[in-house]
Amino acid sequence: MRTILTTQNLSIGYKRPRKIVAEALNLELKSGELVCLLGPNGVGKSTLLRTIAAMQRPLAGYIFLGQHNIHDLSPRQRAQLISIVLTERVDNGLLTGYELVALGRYPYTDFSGRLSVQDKTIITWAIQAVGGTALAARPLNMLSDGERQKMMIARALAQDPSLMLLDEPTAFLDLPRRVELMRLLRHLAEDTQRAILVSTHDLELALQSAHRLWLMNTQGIIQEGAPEDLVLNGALQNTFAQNGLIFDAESGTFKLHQQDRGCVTLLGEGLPYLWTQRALAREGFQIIPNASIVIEAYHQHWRLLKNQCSLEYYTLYDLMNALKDQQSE
Amino acid sequence: MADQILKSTTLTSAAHQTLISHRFKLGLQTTLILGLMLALAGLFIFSLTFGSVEIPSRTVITILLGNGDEVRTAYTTIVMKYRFPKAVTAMLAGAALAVSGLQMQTMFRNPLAGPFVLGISSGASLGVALLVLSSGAGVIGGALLPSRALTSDTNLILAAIIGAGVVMALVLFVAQAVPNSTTLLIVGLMFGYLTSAIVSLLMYFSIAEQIQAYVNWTFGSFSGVTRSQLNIFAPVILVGLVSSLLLSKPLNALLLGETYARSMGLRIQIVRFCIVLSTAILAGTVTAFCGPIAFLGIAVPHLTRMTFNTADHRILMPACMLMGAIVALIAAIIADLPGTSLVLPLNAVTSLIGAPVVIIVILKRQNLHKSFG
Repeated sequence: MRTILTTQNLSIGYKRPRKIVAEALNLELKSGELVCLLGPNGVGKSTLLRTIAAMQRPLAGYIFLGQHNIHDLSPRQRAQLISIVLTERVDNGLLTGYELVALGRYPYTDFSGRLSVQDKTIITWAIQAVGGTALAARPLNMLSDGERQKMMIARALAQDPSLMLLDEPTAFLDLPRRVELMRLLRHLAEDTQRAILVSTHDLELALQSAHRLWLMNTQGIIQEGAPEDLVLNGALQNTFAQNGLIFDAESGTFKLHQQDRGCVTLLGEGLPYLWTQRALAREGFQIIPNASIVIEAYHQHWRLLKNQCSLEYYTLYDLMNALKDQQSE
Repeated sequence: MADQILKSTTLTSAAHQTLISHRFKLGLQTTLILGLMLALAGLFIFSLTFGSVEIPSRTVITILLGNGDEVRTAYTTIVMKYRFPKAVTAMLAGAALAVSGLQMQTMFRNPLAGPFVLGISSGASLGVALLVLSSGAGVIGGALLPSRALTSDTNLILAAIIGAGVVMALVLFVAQAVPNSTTLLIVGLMFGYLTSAIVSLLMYFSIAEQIQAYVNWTFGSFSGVTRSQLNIFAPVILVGLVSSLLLSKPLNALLLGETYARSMGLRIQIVRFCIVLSTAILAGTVTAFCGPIAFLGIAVPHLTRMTFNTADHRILMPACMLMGAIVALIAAIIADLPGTSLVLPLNAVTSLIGAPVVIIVILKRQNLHKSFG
């Protein structure tokens, strides 16, 4: 793996009014790597991305792309090395998918913007790489949010950069599209040996798809490592605990409900056991051996045992309501 | 990296299909451009035949080819001295306004933007108002000069150029200083209001005859430009048009918004400066010579986009020039009311005919707002 991006003592933030978002950042991005930038709202993920993309001057320190300090490069040279995808929607109805992707060749064409045979080949390759061939002839406003975002990624790819930066590319997408997009980005990083840095709020998806995480907390400190490393060393839990969110290291998800509704004993096996366990956790019941309430989970039915009474339920929903009723009595 | 891609790429049949449909679109657009060129040439000849006297088109062509000796000298005089400069002025002004409107709409990503959003016509108006309304009021040598001489055509043009130039310089200065185009748009609008307010004040303290001269100027006209003035007007407009062709590529990048454009290597400050400068020269010159011609600059880019169904400025630029020239020429012909000696105010004609046309086109397509994603 080649090192693509390095930062040296980088401080990011704003000059007027002076606000340091993060300082002394020494970060690295390698080729073939999908890195997710995570952190609570407002910690400065976008500021970091904008600084790396040279849209904003750093307060101090340096950013190197390969051997080049990015601020020594001309805008055109920089555009040949870094491309971006933003949250902002572009849905110009007179622009087809193909024309959008073709704009990615901007830093390579002459003053007239005429596309060479090589440019056209790269455009077609980029469209194929995101699986967007069927979308190329359609105007942008006829594409769904997910399809449009795919074409924006193809445009960024057509720019033939060594580093792609994406600022919350999954923000407007439904869950299946988000999964699809992250999988696409992971494959692109591996197949094309580019470095891809994505800022996202989608913690669970990032845990599953990123090669590495950059975890930014409210003090502007970035901890990095494989997703699992950050769970095991507690970094993930700590970062989000500051925002009142509890990350459950066992399930790899956030806990929503913290109300304690008491203890139950759960018997059963396989999927019925697993999902009953989840339902109980969601409703705030703690599972212990030898509680006074016992639940037996079977395929599509549940038995509730309490004080020698036995009640049958056929949905988890009814079971949970019965448990809650008992609790309030 | 690019070489690897070239070697490893095999195009699927679907990808070929895409390329073919793209080429088909290009072929259609070329045909349309050729059609517009023919229409413009036809209209040009047609406009020379009509007026208070009708001159046969065959005679007009003979005169245009330089064989004016073979026909009646009166005809040659009418065509070469009056109708030819007027038609050429109309075509150039139409093309200039349409192209500046297109640039403003793309740069501000706003369908309501036009050549005058940056206050250039207001600046010209102020220059003219200052000249017309102060003449004879004893402010600048009114006692020495008869007001008629002071408000001669050449002086009006000079005043308009100075007015437009001052506002343009201010706007260019602001364009360098402000971080984004929206701020520039608002500042431009404010300049417009400021100058209009000063004009209102001047009019309030003026006498009716002077106001009439100013009002006449605001009606707009293509017939005020003489043969000799055309020697200045035409080269300036042509230079402006050619240089705006060079802005096609950056304008295409700006379709995605400034952030994306910058990420693709566009130097936004320089490009913005060039766009404002080219618009100011085009719109400023037209306003100086023909008065503030409303509507054309906003409407023609929309008509062109819809006709050509594209956002690509490499096609839109030349297409807008042709379309602008055609619309301006038609407006000029109608304003003359062929067969009568009446002449209608040009501004009234452009809007009266143009507005319904645009409304119809927009209602039919209903996708105007989709052009500004």
